[in-house]
Amino acid sequence: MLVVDHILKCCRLSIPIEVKRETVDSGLLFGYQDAKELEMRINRGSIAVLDSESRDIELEPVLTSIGLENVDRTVIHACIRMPKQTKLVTDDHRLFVCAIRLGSSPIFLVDLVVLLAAKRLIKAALAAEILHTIQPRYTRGFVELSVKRLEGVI
Amino acid sequence: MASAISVQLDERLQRFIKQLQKRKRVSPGEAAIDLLQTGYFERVRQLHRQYLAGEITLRRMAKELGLEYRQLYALLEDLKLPVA
Repeated sequence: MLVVDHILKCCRLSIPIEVKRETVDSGLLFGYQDAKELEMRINRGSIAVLDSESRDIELEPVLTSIGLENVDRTVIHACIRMPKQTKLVTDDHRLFVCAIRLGSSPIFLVDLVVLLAAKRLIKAALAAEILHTIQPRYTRGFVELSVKRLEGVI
Repeated sequence: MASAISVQLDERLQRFIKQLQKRKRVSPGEAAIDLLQTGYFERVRQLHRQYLAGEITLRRMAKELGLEYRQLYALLEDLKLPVA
């Protein structure tokens, strides 16, 4: 069971088609197992794929000059079209800051896990297990902050 | 997949490669590859520092390295470099 499966039990997950191309389609070409797993979830409709839509012509050059790549910009454009309660899950600091500045609600994956536990959508023990599983991907202290929040210490 | 390229080395690099050859007891080609890999991984780490500092996105880092986004994730995993 992937981490995303726990999230899919209580969240609706959508990705722009460009993100699917770079993670799933490209991942399949290079033989990554997680790409196959994600493709299965997309094929059975657990993860929605958003079609390419037109971009805000005022915003596009600004996003380019701030250093966002094509798919980064697609994500931002998609995000600002979504309902207000939609959260952009990203661990990319530059993308995160850019989304905040545009009034979106980005969230780091580790904090999404804490939020789901706080809302009792997943059990605290499961949240702790997920944080423990993904900890090696992060710098020291990054996940610990989420663990402390989960424990209610801070 | 390996491929061969021919490059002209300036005198300093030639001397350095000779020194590497002697020190590591390897062929000139192996010494050159060693040097290229050292430079490559240093560049990866430099871009990664920029990424962690929020100066560039992960996708920009992939582009700079000539990698697909998904390949970069694999590289970070291999090098045990964090995503945040």
